[in-house]
Amino acid sequence: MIRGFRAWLNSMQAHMIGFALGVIVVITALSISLITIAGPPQRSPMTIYDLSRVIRGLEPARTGLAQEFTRTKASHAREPASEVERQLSGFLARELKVPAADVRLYLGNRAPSHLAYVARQAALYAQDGGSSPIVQGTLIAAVRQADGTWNLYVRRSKAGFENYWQLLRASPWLGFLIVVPLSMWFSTLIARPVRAFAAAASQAGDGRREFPVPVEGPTEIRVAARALNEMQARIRDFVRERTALVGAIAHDLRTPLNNLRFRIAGAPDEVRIPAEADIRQLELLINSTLDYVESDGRILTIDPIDLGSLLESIVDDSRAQGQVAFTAAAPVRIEGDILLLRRLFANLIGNALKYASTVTVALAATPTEAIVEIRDDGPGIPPADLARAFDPFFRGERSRSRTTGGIGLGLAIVRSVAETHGGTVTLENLPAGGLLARVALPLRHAPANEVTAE
Amino acid sequence: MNLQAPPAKILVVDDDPSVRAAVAEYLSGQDYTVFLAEDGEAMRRILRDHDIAIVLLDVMLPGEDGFTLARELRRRPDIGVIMLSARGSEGDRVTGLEAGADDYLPKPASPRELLARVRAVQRRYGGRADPPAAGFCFTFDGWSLDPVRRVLRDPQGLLISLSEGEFELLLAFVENPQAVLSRDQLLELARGQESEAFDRAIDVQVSRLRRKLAGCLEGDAIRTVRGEGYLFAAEVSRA
Repeated sequence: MIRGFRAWLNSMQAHMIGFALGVIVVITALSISLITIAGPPQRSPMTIYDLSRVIRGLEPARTGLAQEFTRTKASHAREPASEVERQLSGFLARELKVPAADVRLYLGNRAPSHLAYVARQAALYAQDGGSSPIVQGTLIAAVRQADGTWNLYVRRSKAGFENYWQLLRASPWLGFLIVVPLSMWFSTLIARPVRAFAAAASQAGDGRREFPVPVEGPTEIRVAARALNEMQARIRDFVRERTALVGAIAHDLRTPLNNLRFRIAGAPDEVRIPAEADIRQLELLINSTLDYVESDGRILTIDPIDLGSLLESIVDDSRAQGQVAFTAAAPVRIEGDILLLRRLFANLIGNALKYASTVTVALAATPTEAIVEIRDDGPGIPPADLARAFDPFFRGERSRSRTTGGIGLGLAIVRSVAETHGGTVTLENLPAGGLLARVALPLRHAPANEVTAE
Repeated sequence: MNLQAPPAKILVVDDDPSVRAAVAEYLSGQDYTVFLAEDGEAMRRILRDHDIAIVLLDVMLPGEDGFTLARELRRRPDIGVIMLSARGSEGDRVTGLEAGADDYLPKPASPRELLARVRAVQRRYGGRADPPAAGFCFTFDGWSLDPVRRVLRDPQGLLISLSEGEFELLLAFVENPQAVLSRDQLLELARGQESEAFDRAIDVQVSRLRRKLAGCLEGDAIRTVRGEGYLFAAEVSRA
């Protein structure tokens, strides 16, 4: 139950709900604070009549108004500064029924637009004989007493920004400015595991190597990663089973073929010689099949290997088949299985010599990798075949003939050995013609991870 | 052919009757006396009763496998062992030779090749007194030459590869250490079919070997003896 809830909390659904709630909170908080900071005057509107009742100590029409005022005394009260204040002072005097000279009313600082409104109101009231317009915000009323001092009735109010409505109207846009980067950050956060998953998944599934997808991130991704890893393990088992089957068949062909050879040993030459050629062909097929099956397995022994001398010795041994040259920038030592690596490079160099007259083998190294480049001046590989050149049993048009063609496992073995060593091999046609085979092998052997289905 | 010697006795150990029949028929036709066994038990029985020169041994046998039997046969210094197996990978070959087989032939074997190997093993046991080269390493000055894997290992364990010619040449040297070898002797000692290529380039091969053995005896492992040939100066032991 708790586990299930935890899993849900980690899900994308929960993340999305959380994010939506977060956005609502942010926008609301923004609006509330805008209103608080820049809102309309806090104090409520009141009529001049109500003000007169407050001054006279009577309960005004709206209860609680009296508490908004503080009373002080002053020896002096200045003349109102503006026409509006003078008019309002007149109205208040009329409501208080005292001489206009004894009453002064001041308004606090407020927006000119608001003052203009109050002025218009006052002018209309004055014109029509009314005397109780509505005022709001800061009010300071001064009434002269018999002893010549002034009683002050003061209500202070925070004045609104001039254009607070405009500010409120702008608040959604302000929210937009906050929410957009927030949601970009959040979507990146959500998308990162999805992208990592996609990257891992796109490598998986060819059955040759396993690319365990890390089980991390939101619950949905974890579930998908687990399913993908299990699928990879199934594909791996399937491929291994099939490879083992092919190997078993090839292997079992050897014994009858062996007997055949011995049985025809005494046959007349016109039967024996072509039959032996056929048997040799079959033997080649079986051998490369078994080489492939074996190269697919794990590495038997890991030794430090002087790669330069390995390449040089293969090149030396290949000289009978064509013109081969070897160059090395510096000695390079790697860790690997010498028998498998010898097969890898012998296959590539032999392959190049089959189709080209001149082959060069160059060895270089980066801090982490050994790079071997094998260039030939042959016809290259048709672009359409390049992608499939490493597939087992794939033979391009050029190698269908019996004289040049193997059975399409040479390059499959090359790739398999390179990958077993944690390396890569690529083929490309050179612009000037010919083929470039490039092998990159890590200098230090790191065993490949096995998929662990969690 | 081998007219001066009486027909040698060969024992074919294979659990597949068709293989036994085919190989026996061929070898009988080549004037060998052939005995047949289907497993290790039968092999031992025949070895008790007959003076067998060479055992042709399959790998996959019921009960004890061919590698185990090869190790057992290695204790008999008078019997040559050739493994004839459907397991033909490099790894199997190495295992077989390390188990003590004198030679390892993958199936399908060419009858003539088998005959050639049988004769080579016969020569080794009949004529020359040296034990077979296979199955162990030559060590000198911290270095070792592994004739099965055909690799040279320096004192730090780094594998240094040799071309076929270089390998044959070094094998000739380490089998005859501290002796002056003329170019002709070296040619003769170097086994293998590549001898023509080897012949042309013998001095080149020596200089390449010297480069690969640069750290051995401070680069002085192979000395030139003026007008006579070459000498491998290091002390060689077999391990």
